Amino acid sequence: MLGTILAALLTLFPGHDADEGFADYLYALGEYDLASGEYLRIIYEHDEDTLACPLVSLHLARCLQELGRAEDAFSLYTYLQRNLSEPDLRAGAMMGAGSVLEESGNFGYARELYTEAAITSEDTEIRARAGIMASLISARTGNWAVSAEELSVLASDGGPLSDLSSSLAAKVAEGEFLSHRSPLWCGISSAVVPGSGQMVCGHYTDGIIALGVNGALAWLFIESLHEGNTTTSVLLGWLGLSFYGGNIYGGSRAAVTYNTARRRELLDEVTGILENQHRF
Amino acid sequence: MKSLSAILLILLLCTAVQGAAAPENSLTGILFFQYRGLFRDLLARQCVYYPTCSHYGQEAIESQGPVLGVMMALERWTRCTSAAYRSGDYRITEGNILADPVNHGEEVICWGRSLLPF
Repeated sequence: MLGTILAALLTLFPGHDADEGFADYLYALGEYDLASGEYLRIIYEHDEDTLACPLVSLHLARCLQELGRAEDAFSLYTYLQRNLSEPDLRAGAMMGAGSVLEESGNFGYARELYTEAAITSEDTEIRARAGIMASLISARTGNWAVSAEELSVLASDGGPLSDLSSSLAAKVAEGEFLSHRSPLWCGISSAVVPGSGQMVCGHYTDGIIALGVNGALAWLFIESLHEGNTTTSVLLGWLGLSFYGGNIYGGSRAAVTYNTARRRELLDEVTGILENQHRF
Repeated sequence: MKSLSAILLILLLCTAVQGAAAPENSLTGILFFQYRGLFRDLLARQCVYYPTCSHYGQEAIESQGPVLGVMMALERWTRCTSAAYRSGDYRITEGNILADPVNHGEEVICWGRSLLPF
C-alpha cells in the first residue's frame, strides 16, 4: 500500500525516473521478489539491454541472489563483469560474483574476484570493501592470522572503512586462541573410560549417560554368560558393542561439535561487527 | 533375562506386522517407521534435535552402513535429553530445536553480501 502511494507520488515529479525509484524503494525494503519484477520491466523498456542500465542490472542480480537463485545471479554478475567498461561498476559485478562463489564454498575463486575488484576499482570505498571481503575469506577458511594481518594493513592505510577494518582485525585475531578439543584424543578417552571424551568437551550429562549405559550393558552381558543363556548373551553382546562403539564415536563427535561451536561463536561476532557497527 | 528376550522378540514381531503399512520400501525405512509409530507417537516422545533421532538414525544407516550407522543412531539416542541445551554447542533452530545433522558441514555465512556496494 505504502509502496503504491510512493510510486504515485514519484510520477508527479517530471524528469524523475519513477520506475527506478519505486524499484529501488522495494529493493531497500527487502521485497526482492517485487523489486526483481520492476527491474526486469525497466530492462525490458531499455530494449532488454542490461548494459544500458548497469546499476539496475546489478540490483537485479542481487535480488536473484537474495531469492536463492544463485546460478542466475552468478550468470548476470559474470556477464556484467565481462562487458561493463566503467571500472567501479565492473568491480561491483566482480564483488557480486565473488559473494555468490563464497556462499557456494568456492573460496579461492571468490578471493581472486575480490582482489581483482580491489585492484581495478577507482573508488576508494569500493576498494576498501573489496579488500575487506578478500581478507575475510582467509578467516572463513580458518587462516585467522593471515586474515588479521591483511585487515590490519587495510586499517593502517587510514582510508575509508579503516575503523571497520581495525575492529575486524582485532576480532579475527582471537581465532588463533580459540579453545580446541582433539576428536582423536576424545575418542580414545571414551574408549578407555566410556563417557570421558564427552565430559572433556563439557557434555557432562551425555558422558554420565554413556558411562551408565555401557556399564549396565556390560554387567547384564556378564550376568547372562553366568546364567548360560546364549540367545540373550548374543543379543546383549551385540547391543553392548554397538553402544560402546557409539560411545567412542560420541566422544569424537563431541570434540567436533565443541570446536565447531567455538568457531561459530567467533564467526557470529564478526558478522555482528559487519551488521551492527557499520551499516551500509 | 528371559523377559528381556521376550520383549525383543515382541518388538521384532511388531516390526514385521507394521512393516506392511510402512510407506518406505527399504528395511531401514520399515524399522524406523516402526520406531516412530511405537516410541514417538504412542509414548509421545519429543526429540530435542533436528533432524529427529529416528530420521538421524535412518540417514546414518543409509549413508554409513549398518554397523557404524547403528552405533551413530544409538549414540544420538543416548544424548537426546534436555541437557543438550545446557552445553550451548548446538545451533538453536525454529521451535527451540537443536540443529544436529549427520554431517556437520560448513555453515553458510553471507559476509560478502553485507559488504556489496549496491
